[in-house]
Amino acid sequence: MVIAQIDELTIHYGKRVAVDGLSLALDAGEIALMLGPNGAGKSTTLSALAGAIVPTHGTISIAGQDVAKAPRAVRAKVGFADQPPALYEFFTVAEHVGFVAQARGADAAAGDAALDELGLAKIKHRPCRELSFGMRQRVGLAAALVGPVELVLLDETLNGLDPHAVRAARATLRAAADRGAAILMSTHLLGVAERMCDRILMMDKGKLVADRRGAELDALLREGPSAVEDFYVSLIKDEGPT
Amino acid sequence: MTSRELIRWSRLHERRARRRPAFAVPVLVGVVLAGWVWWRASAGPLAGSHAWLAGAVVGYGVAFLRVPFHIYWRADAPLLAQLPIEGGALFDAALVRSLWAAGATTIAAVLGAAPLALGPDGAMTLVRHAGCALALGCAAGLLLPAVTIGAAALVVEGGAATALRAATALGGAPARSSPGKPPAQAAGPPSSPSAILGALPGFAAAVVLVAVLLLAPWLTDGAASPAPAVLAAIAGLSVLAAAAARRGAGIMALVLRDVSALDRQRLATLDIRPPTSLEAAIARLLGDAALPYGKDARLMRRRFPMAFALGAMVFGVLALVGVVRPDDPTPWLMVAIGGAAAYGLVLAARLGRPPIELARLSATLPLGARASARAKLAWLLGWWTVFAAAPAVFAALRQDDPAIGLGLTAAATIAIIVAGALPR
Repeated sequence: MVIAQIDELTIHYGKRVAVDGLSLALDAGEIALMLGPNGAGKSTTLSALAGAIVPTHGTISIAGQDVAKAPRAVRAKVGFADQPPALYEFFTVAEHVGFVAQARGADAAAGDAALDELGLAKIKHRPCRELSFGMRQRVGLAAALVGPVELVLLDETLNGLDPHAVRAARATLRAAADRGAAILMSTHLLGVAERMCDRILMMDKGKLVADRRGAELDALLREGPSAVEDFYVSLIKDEGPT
Repeated sequence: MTSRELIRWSRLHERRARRRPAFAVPVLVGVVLAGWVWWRASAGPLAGSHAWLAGAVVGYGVAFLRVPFHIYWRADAPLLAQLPIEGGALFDAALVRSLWAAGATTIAAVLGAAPLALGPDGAMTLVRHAGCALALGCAAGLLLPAVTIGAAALVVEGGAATALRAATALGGAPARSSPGKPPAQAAGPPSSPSAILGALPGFAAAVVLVAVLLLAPWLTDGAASPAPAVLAAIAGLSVLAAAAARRGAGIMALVLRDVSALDRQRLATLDIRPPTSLEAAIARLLGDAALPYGKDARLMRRRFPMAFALGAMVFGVLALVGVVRPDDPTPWLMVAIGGAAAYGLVLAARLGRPPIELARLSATLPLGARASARAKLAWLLGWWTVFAAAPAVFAALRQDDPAIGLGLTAAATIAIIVAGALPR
């Protein structure tokens, strides 16, 4: 079942084209990894899926609903961990995640459950402004996962996490995928991500330049420990920031 | 980096961050003040002068309060403290910011005094008011920055506790000491060094404003009095204080580092409490805006405790005006209601910015924009009603002519509603 459908998505920032005619479908239960150089359009695509950016052209639908036509209904189904995570600095961790849960129509207890799942129960009464970088990432992840979300968007959310936290995050994301959510994650941590992904999407200059899943992905991963990195380097030239 | 280079960078950033022409707000405020003065002057030059003075006291009071934000309570303070920039350059850039802000307030004040030129002996009356505005401008642009930096230097160099003890003793408060123990080991909670950051500039501001209020009769009658000398002394003292502070400007990098660290430390300790019964009652009336309202109410209480302290002060002043019934209540009502309204407008803007509103997060949550706007308006109106509107109505109704107080309250309430309802 398709959770997210992107058709001919184009996003301009002034004269600069951040995303250029992107078409893509994400299935339920799928963990997709989005790779690409800085400025490739990954974050812009994630923001557009979350409804935080209005596309210049093209359409996005989530669980069958058009983001432009029913933004509020769609937002209840999308969890987005932005970079850096937007946290209410003067809320405690539990209050922040509880607020997001309630906004998505869940009760505040759902927030506690998400925090427990990610091993954050011990810090739930700490103000967000006291948190370290890694902790903030984890709280951002908890907020993205809380409530009845069907699409989870993670923008480099695994950066700065310690190995235990990465393991907990991986297990939680897999559990969310098993419950039927689609997960789209941008990252530069290839080693961490290739252990959990069902699909690799490669973006460059606003376009999708590669899409590997199923047998193709398995074959790629069997090539060795740096197979994804080699694949990346072979496809994308280092031209510096764009 | 030289002072000139740092000031150029600083001005470039401020020009780009600004959303409207630099002098649009002062000119607008000046025109509004002039309208108010013109209307009051129809009842006589004394009433017009009182109206101007009340407006000027509010305006410069706000300008004095904002001085620390031009100097160290700034987003770029920790970054500037890390860079190898001479204290003199940091001081000069801070002073230029303060002078620009003081200049803007002075433009508004002088524009506001313009209708007084239409009265008897108008030209000289206007000159006297403008002179008063200039002296206050010198205090806002030179004296207060110097005192603020001096207070911060006391904190940085560890003299704050001594200064607080001295101030406490001067004020006649019982010394906190236990028998047989030296003062340093006195019982009770330790004094906060950050208290000096507000106390010293607050004291200096109060002295300047009280001195100017005492000159009020001279502004209209121009009779021989020490008023010109007092104004010249304020201006002269301001210049001397700034020059003295410039000589000790080497401490500015430390001030930026330590005060911003102190601020982070202080703000990290949050008073986490559930919604008050009043907040809960308002939330129940708001339907789908209850969730964003609850969020705003908790965050405002934690981030801006000053809103409640100042609100309580306004409440107290207005209650006193109602109980005491002074001969000419208009300036008092104007200062209290106008000051509260000005601060309410600031709060209205704060409600729409981080850390109260996270636009990036809100854009991804299924919260209606209207519900969010209604929540902010409800918070603002709640604050305004409890701390200003209700006591203002009480104070107005207690006067022989309640029309002015009620009119002021109504006008300020409309301004608050408009500011609260503006799209963010």
